[in-house]
Amino acid sequence: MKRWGFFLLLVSGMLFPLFSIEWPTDSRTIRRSFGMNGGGRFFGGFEFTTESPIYTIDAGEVLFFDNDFYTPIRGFPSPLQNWIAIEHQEALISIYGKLEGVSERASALIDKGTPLGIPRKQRGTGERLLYFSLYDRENKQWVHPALLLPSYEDTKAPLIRQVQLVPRDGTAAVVLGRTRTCKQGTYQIYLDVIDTFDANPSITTVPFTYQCFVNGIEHSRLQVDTLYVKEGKLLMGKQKSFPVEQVYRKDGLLYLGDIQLTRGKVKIEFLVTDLAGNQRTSTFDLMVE
Amino acid sequence: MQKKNIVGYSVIPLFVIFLYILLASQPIPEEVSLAPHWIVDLTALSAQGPETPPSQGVVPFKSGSFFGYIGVDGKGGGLLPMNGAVTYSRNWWIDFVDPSRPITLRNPSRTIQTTIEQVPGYPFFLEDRLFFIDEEQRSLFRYTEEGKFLWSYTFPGICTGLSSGTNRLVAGTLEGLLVVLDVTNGKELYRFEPGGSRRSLILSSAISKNDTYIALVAGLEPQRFLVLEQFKNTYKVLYHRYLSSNYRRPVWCTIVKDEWVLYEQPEGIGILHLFSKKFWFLSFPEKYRSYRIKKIGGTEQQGIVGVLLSQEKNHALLTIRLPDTILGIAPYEAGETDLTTVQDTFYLSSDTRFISFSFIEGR
Repeated sequence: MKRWGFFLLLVSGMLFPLFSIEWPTDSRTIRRSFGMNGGGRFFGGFEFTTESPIYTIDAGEVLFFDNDFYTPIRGFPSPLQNWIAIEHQEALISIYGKLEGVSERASALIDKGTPLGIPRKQRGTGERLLYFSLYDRENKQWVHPALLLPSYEDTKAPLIRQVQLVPRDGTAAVVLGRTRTCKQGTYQIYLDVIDTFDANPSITTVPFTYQCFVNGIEHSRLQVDTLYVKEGKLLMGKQKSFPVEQVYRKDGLLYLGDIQLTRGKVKIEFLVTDLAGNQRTSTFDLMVE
Repeated sequence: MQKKNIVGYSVIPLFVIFLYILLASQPIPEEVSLAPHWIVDLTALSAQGPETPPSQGVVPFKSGSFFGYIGVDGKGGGLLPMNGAVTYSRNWWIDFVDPSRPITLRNPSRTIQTTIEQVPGYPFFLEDRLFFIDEEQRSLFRYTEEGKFLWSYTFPGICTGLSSGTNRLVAGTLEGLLVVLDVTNGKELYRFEPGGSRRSLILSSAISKNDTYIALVAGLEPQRFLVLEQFKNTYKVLYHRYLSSNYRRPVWCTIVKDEWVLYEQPEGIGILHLFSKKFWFLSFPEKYRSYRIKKIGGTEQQGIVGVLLSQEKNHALLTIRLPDTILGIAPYEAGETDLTTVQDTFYLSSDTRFISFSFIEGR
């Protein structure tokens, strides 16, 4: 059994020192997780499929709630439907959306584990879904909830399904593993990777770190830990940031930078790590002509 | 000598009276009378949409399970099918189920204008323009009526409110940022963080039709009401007021006639005249102080405002002549109700009735 390791503790410790929270629901059926690519768009929270009650993750203060989907006050129908935002210590805001209803409370102060109701049945599918996200007010960024939530068991390593090298000149992509030779030039690296966890193997999540090594030297690295906005555009990654529209392709592939290949033998290695520290490596030997 | 004194004594009072008339007099207030136009029985309308859109235009209405359009003259109305959440403007409507399905933009006569296969979120209209907001309430997308993507903008936090003027759009966010965008290209023109409160957030924001004024309710402990005025390419604070309220939900804030700001307050409404910076608090009649403001509709020419108050199935339409004269209050019961204003005419819908009225001013 492998639990979220030292690596995770280090990252979460950097983001929020000495801070512990609880899960907002007993369900671990995460339909969509932080960093999931939805047609080129980055999902910035967790979406649970659950009929269980929803609880506050920590003590805090009700910052804002909205309980009228149709109200003309805000100028648009609220996609988060009935939602509530609670501000905790360290300027962390937890957001709970798609609830059955949110009532006005006598006191704005709220304890850890206070029931917030149940998720609302969604139009069309009839599923009850909870939208949950964490926003770091101080750094103006969304944080991967799993970095702060208590760990859950995960022994499954991510799966690298495909790696493509797409030439800049628009010619056909080189699928690594299928092809052992390619022409010299500049290529864009695209990965197709999925991850699952023990609680629900049928649900795919997003790995935490993607690394590419060329002849043993780290060439590029992408970390799915935070999401923030600069000049109206979404950027992902705390240490090194990338524009989401550059990284997330509409077909689900993930861009991991450009690589310039010159004549000769080259060894390209991909290392993908999930939040529990489970790793998957794929190595490809390529002859560049 | 005595004659001189008599003249002197009579001239001084006359002069004082003249001064009083000149400086302190006020015009005789205009009489305001209600002019009802028509009442339509919604249950008698056909489920076909307006047969022929009237030349003067149509008014949309939604009430409970009904949605439809009716001519401004009360004729040619019709009900329209509603499967999901209907979003509408005076010229377009969309029956929307969820973002995974294509949407069809139609006009009031049900004619299809365009179909958008892949939608980026939830559709809505502001000033007859088509927008989408993504499911995390973070990104805004503008499309043309032909279904062509124009621009997108992502807010640094969750968007809590939007308002559109003629060329500009103002948005507030959960973490307390106000952003002004150019509605034609989505470019950020101005940003403002009010601060000054223990917790920052924007509860409500409104921009005047002429894009000159922005009003907002922001922050917690203390909550603040601010008005910004356009100054060259930027905005500067014109008016500021600490509020006794500490709302933690969306609140009403609206600009009427590019001249007045009305904003929600406990048991009443705050009213600010933008030119004189004079402030009034209009207290609701006692019976309606626990009611919530459902909608505020202002006339374009007259300084008359309708405030729709609701408490479950009990509603009341409060009409105000700005700044603070209550013209009347009409209580009624209904499951659903809505208020719309077109120029100087009010349109009020309930479960089964749709009425139109205006006010006539004259001495």
